[in-house]
Amino acid sequence: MDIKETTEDIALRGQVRQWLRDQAPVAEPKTLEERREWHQRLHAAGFVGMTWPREFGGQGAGPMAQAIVGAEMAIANAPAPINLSGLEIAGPSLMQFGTEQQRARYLRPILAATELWCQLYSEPNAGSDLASLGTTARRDGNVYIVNGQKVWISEGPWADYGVLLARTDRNAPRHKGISCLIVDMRSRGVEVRPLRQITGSSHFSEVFLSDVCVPCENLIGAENDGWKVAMAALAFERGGNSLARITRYQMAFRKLVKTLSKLNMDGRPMIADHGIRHRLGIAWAEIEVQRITALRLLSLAECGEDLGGLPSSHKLSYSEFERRFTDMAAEMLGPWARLVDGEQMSELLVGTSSAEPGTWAHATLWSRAVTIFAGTSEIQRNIIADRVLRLPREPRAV
Amino acid sequence: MDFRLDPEQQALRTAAGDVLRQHCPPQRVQQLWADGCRCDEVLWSELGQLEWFGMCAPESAGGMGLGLVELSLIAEQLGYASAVGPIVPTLAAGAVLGRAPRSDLVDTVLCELVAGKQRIAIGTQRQDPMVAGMDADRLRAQAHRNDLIISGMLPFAPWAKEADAILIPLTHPSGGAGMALVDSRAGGVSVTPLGNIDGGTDWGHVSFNDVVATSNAWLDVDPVWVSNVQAISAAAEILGACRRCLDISVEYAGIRHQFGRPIGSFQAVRHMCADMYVGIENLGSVVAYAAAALEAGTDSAGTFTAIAAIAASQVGTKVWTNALQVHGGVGFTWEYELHLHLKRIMALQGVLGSSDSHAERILASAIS
Repeated sequence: MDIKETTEDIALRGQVRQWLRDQAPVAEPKTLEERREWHQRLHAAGFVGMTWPREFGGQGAGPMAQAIVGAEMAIANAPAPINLSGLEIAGPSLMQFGTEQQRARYLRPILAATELWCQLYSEPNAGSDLASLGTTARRDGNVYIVNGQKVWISEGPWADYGVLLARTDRNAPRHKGISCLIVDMRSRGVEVRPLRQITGSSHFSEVFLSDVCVPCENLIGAENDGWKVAMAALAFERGGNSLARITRYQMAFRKLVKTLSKLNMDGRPMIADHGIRHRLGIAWAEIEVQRITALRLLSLAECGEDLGGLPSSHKLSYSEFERRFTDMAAEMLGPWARLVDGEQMSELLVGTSSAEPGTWAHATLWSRAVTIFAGTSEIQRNIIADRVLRLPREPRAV
Repeated sequence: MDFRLDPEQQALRTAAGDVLRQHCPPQRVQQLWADGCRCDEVLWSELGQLEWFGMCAPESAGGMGLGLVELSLIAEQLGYASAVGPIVPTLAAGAVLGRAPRSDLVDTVLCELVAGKQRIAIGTQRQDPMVAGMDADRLRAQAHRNDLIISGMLPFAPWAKEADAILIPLTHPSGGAGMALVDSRAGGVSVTPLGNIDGGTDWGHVSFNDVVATSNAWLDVDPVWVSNVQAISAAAEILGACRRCLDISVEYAGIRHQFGRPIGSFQAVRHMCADMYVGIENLGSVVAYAAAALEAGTDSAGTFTAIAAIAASQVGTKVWTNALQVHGGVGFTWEYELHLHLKRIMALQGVLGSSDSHAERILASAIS
């Protein structure tokens, strides 16, 4: 047990901080090309895909290094890299299950964001119960013919490729008839419709697939073995970069304290109020609990330990905290937590845990996304109950 | 950074768990409660033979010189077993005395402590809020020839009645903040029991009426550090008690049937158990981190201790409440073991002190 940061980690932190001080853009990049250009600068500096093996363009670094970069970017309020579905889902899936040709073809363009990816998993009738998905891929000679509808697809409007889950065997048990395919989003029969979210932005889209031809060589892993690929990918999605998210909580906390120093209640600054100070102290303690657990998770992952239920437990914990935290701020700030811009007070632009800019109102809405995506809180609890506590299984409809 | 326990720590944790499973099963604890016994003499002498008590005492005094991470691992196991007796404060006292400059008194007491012949209580004054009136009679010392004359009141001291000696925070007549080791049978020391909900612990408030102690009874040890050690140990004991609550809840949910199936197959029950697990994972991270920070002497160790205290209090309440809910009516009966653990958690929350004071300390460090 040693809680000291290694000298390498301290050096990396300093190096990233300095680089961001010199290089971070002053204005938030707006267009896709501006965001891609920023991503490519991060990539050139070696701050993207650090855990990827060298042969695929990464550095073979441990998860702690990438987490340190993420945390420093959150502190500097630097824009995030793009192509997260590529970096966190498609890339790791291809590395673990892809063919030589697929890896050689797709991995480097993912890192450089010259090709953007999306994840085509969820469907209108297959969310938490992903294995009930109904999109089909029918083998016809050298191609699969894909039909179905996907929804809640991040990055859909500009993605070049999608990682698709589709049913290839209708007669097999539900988990055993699913395959994972790479879909060229420019193929005939692919239609992407943006979905406007409650935050006002359009990160999501629906994707309609009508007789889309996907070459057989685009299969990731074996036919009918796609569930395994998908589950590994979800594990990547849950484990990864919580440290950056938690660092954003810390940044928001500091802005909240500044705001409370400027607002008065009964003729004195709100920050002097005992009740408010108590709640702030408890909230900071809770942020630290999340941060220390994130460090523990990273440290165990770095040492190659079995993480057991910790990724699920951690995701459940920070996402539920994030709701309480944004609600606490709203209770303290009253109307000031419900504005949609920072014109009255720049401290109200706290940013959101998704790294999208916004006010407390947006942060509050985004906090409700976190308890839904990458496995809802209820699914995380089921995972813990099944796999860690080994409680009796719930009866399921057959 | 490496959160893994090293092999020795792992072995210590396992060994402690084994010993307590054998010598401190729930039926034994139930019996001690029924007998009104506040120190399990059989367990105490067993642990003495296994040379547990010198675990945190320095090697020069015959101890093992282990640190606060190890102390918290042992405290966690004692919490899991709901062991009865001043074991944790005596182990912690080994570390406190080891930190004090050597003297005949320190050497003698350490020697007896290592042999299992000294039970030591640790009193602190951090446990706010004070009862009105007690505040006025703060502990103080006067020098008289080679002696110290100690007067005043220690409003809250766990284990004061069972202990042979009490470590109290005391400002030296010349002005230095430190601790003093006072023989609890010395003339002028009187312990008034404070009945508390946990039948396996003993609380008291202690008055000192011109108690004469030798001048080397004053120890140059930071009382804030001592109260941090006490808080970390209490948080670790709560962690252990929480683990026990979860284990018996999962077991019960697997065997109790209602509506024709085990209640552990109902999502509402499963989710209560999962929430207990989440709290325990978080608390485990924080207790280990705070103990390591305090052991390493980092500047922010006090803040991490306060964070661990708040986490222990919050998680403790959540876990025992859910455990009781999972058990239903059975959990509310005296003869079932759950009440031992939930009362241990409740009492230890008292030892952790007011979370308001911790919150203020944390906020001050966060916005400084």
